[in-house]
Amino acid sequence: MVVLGETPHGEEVHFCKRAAESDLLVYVNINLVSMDGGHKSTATGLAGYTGLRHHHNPHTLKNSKSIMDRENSALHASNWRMGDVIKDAGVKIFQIETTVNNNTFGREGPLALLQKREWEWSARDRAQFIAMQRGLEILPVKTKRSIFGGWQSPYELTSIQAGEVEAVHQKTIENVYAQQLVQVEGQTDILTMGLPYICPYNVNSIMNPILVMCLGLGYFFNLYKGKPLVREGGVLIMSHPTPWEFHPVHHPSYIDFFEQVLTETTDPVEIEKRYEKQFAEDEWYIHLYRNSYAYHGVHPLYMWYWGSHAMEHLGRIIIVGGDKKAVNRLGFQSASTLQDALEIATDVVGPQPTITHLKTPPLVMADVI
Amino acid sequence: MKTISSLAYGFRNKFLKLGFPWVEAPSPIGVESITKKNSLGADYDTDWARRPGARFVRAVVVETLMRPVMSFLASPTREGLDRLGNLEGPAIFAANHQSHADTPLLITSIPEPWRHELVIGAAADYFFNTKATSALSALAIGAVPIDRTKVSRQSGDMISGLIGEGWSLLIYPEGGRSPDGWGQPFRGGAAYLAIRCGVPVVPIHVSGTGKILRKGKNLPRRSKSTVTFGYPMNPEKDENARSFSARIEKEVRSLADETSSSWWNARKRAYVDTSPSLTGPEIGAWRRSWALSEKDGKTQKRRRRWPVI
Repeated sequence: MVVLGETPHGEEVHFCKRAAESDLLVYVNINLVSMDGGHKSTATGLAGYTGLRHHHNPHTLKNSKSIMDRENSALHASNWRMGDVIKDAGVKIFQIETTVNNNTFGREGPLALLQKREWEWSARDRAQFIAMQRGLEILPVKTKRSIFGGWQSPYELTSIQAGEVEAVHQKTIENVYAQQLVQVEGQTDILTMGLPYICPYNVNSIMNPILVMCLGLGYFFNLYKGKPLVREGGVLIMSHPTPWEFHPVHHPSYIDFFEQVLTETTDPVEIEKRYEKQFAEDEWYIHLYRNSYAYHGVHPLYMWYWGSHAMEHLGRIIIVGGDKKAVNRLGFQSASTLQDALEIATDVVGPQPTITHLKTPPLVMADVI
Repeated sequence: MKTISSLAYGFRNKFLKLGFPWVEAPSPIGVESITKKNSLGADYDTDWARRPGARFVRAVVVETLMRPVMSFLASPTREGLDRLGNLEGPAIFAANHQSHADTPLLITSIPEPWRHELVIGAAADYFFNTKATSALSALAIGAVPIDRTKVSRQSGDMISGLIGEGWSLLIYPEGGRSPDGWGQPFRGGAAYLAIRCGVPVVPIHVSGTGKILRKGKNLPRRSKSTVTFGYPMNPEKDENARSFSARIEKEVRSLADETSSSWWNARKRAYVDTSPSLTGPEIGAWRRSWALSEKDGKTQKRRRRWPVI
């Protein structure tokens, strides 16, 4: 790593030495959501812990409203300041950004029904779903993971932009918004969402409880522009099995975070203060990160910070169908059925709440007016 | 005692209570539902019925169910099979149509290799009006929908594609079963497809099936039947569908004559174009009915009015 300079806000810009010394850095990106790309690609992607801590912290993430909306994201503002420093240091970047359509499960094939709206399912789709449901009930977990993990989405490119970072990113964002932005009238009391089996950090791995939290509160909750889909003090109901299970090779520090830190506190600020340095600088985690296939020691803490804004905004978080002990450890409430979850939610939002459901796939971004 | 309908009603209610996904999910209020693609009638996709599994089931149905049933009901005599000796590749089998018994009789009469590489042109508005009848028609007899209520290229394109893939077609150029026992004028569909696809038409005459299960009857009764195959016919150079269709109709008329008289007499009459008409005289319905019974050689016996002393 090399230090390229400091932003006016006092943020040190650490950068990969090999990239900084290259004549030209070509960065290729797929922008699945509007959060990706731009200066964040390099300022975050090619930095180390010392650089990341300036924006990957509870304070910045609480003030990113939302992380999917660059103009209103403190995380992106910090990355853009760092991007300027990288540019001024003479690093030449040729940015290639692409966008893909939302064709996650194909228009035909065994999983195609998962991206249709339920009321449009044919009798065949429903029969296939029942068979899939019954099949998944009897299959071993490992087989289920390999079936779904092995699915290759037949995405098709919708645009390619190449050239200077900011000009490229501007065009990319326009294309992502053109596809994903959906106008929604008003906020709701209860937001329900079904979480998928995969997130950015469990490819060929296990979606552990911390990743479930990060996917729901960090990614899906933040899929908005303007105002969150759910009102302040409202309830978020997520559906996910949330197993008490971790991949020991990929997520070693997650196990310790879950067992040692979350039993003490679930407050991101408190976690940052008491545990971040310890996890980031742990020799064993660094060794596994560099020589094995492990995520960095500080990664689970960052995942937790990712949900800071949602945790501060919401009155209650309920997980339907999750492992009760694992859900409680996260500091959330568990419910066996959606009906039970709605009953629990009425304690917070009253007996006649409004409900909005975020259906994925396809990925959508709510423009709440 | 509970009636069948009340039992069915109770069962339906219990099923509906199971909710989604067992029953259809209702469209949410305020959401514009997409127009469902019509999958019945001429739009019914019969591809699945030509896959190996379905073909195997059909072959089993034809050989183990249809053949013995038709042997019992129709005691068929099959004539003219030697005329197909030089026929190669896919062909269009064009027959007159008197009864629902025609199709099983012809499926069990058309020889190999065409029998199990055969699709049947069936009225889209009759055989493909519900999912159950569509599936049953496609599976059991290999039916493909033909739109007879409107002019559409869809059925023609689909059947041309199938013939191009090597499938043969059994079609009834009259467009439906005879309403009164007499034949109906031939439509040009079979001739048009033969010209378009460059395949021969095999004329067939079926007799006797009108007595087994004529239009309007639900229960079959036994009767003898005859299936007569003619020589494969090819469209002549620059011949259009109308004139080729007229030739096919003339040939089927001659085959009918052959069945009721003899090959020699039928050929003589065909040569001078005096084969008896299939469509019957243009007179009142009751006289047509009389004429039909005369044609069949079955006039009502005079009832003895006085006892023999």
